Amino acid sequence: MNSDVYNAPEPVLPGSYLAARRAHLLDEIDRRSSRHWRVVKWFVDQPRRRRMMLVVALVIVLGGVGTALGLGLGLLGKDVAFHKRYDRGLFTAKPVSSFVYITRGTDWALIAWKSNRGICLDYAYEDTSNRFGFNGWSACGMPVVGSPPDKVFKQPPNTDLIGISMGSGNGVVAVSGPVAASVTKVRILLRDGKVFDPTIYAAPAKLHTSLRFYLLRVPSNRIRVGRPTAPAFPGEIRAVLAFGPNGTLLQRKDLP
Amino acid sequence: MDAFDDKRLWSRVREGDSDAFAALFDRYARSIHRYCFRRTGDHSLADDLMSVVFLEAWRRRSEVEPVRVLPWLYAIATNVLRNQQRATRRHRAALARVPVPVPEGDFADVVGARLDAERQMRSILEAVRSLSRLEQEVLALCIWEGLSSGEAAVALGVPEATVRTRLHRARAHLAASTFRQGTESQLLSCDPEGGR
Repeated sequence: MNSDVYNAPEPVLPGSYLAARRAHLLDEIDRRSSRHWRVVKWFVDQPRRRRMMLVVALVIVLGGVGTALGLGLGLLGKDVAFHKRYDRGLFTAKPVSSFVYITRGTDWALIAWKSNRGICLDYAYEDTSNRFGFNGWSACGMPVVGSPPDKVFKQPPNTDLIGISMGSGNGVVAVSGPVAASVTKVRILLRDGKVFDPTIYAAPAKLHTSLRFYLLRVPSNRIRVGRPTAPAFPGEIRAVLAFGPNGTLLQRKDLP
Repeated sequence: MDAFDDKRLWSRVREGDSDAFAALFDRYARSIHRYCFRRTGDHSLADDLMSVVFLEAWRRRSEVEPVRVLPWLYAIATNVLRNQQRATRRHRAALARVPVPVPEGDFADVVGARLDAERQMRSILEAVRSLSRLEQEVLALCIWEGLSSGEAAVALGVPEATVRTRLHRARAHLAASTFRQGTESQLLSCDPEGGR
């Protein structure tokens, strides 16, 4: 048998075989020249170690984004569920719109919603020590021009241009509120002379409002938050100012 | 079909010219298919491995500027044969798109001839199984494919002297085996000008 070792047979190739394979090969080359394949090719062409590093980096990034989104979405869901379960009193605010994010971070969120008691604003943050899985504070019925009227307690027409909701938790002092459409800048004055100009955020279209919202988040070691027994009330804030176009002072609200 | 022509074609391939690549395919596909068939004894597998070799060659076209294209294609083929699973996995989707061949003429004759060739090739592969992997590769490249020792060295990524040594050992092993079976072996060499 070994005499044949040196005489290996030729493969049997039907006439059209190579032509078909050639056509297939060219199709594949065209396919790989597409933009999508250029990315794949670039990745595949990297050295194995770099490919591994890229995969690890991608997993970390996706994991981080996913966690951030999960936490953020979780806060909205938890906030909605909380209000649905506990806001059953006769005079508590009943939602008349969806809850929406005004802005959010990895473990906190500013959430707004319309209610039968006017505009409501919740500041929520993740808190696993709490049985609800989150914590925060809520304010409704701020009589700012453009917000829905309070239908539970008859109020005079809304005339304020700025509303204020404050609290602290999770190492942060947060001051937020709705502002009328005419307000272009908000300034927060502390009693020690410090000044903060918080960011103003437009409301998502889903909220159907011309109101906008400001938020100031300051680490609680940078601002003294009243007495230790009442940490949610930032007694160091002296006033909140609303400015219009050209820097005109539209309203100033002093805090006691 | 000289090296200069290959080099010119390859420089076009490096720039993404698929027509030039098609020309190289026309030139060398039969050789690569034959090598794959002779290393596996399986027409269908050789069909796919040949496609993989050319897909890999296209993928890696910018990595090297081969002095001669064919030995480099044999080098890819040798790697593909060594790592068949990994190589085919990389191009699994492409292989799945290979059109089903349409039988032509007297298909039974073709099938019969293919089966005969496979049977014969498997018998040979069984006979060389006692050789080391490198000896089998040297045998396949130098004896079956007719590459020179220099070309085989390029294809295997080893020094030329190693090719000669391994070929000598392979021959010695096969001769001993043949002698034991009482038949005469052919004396073939890995000729630097070996024809194909």
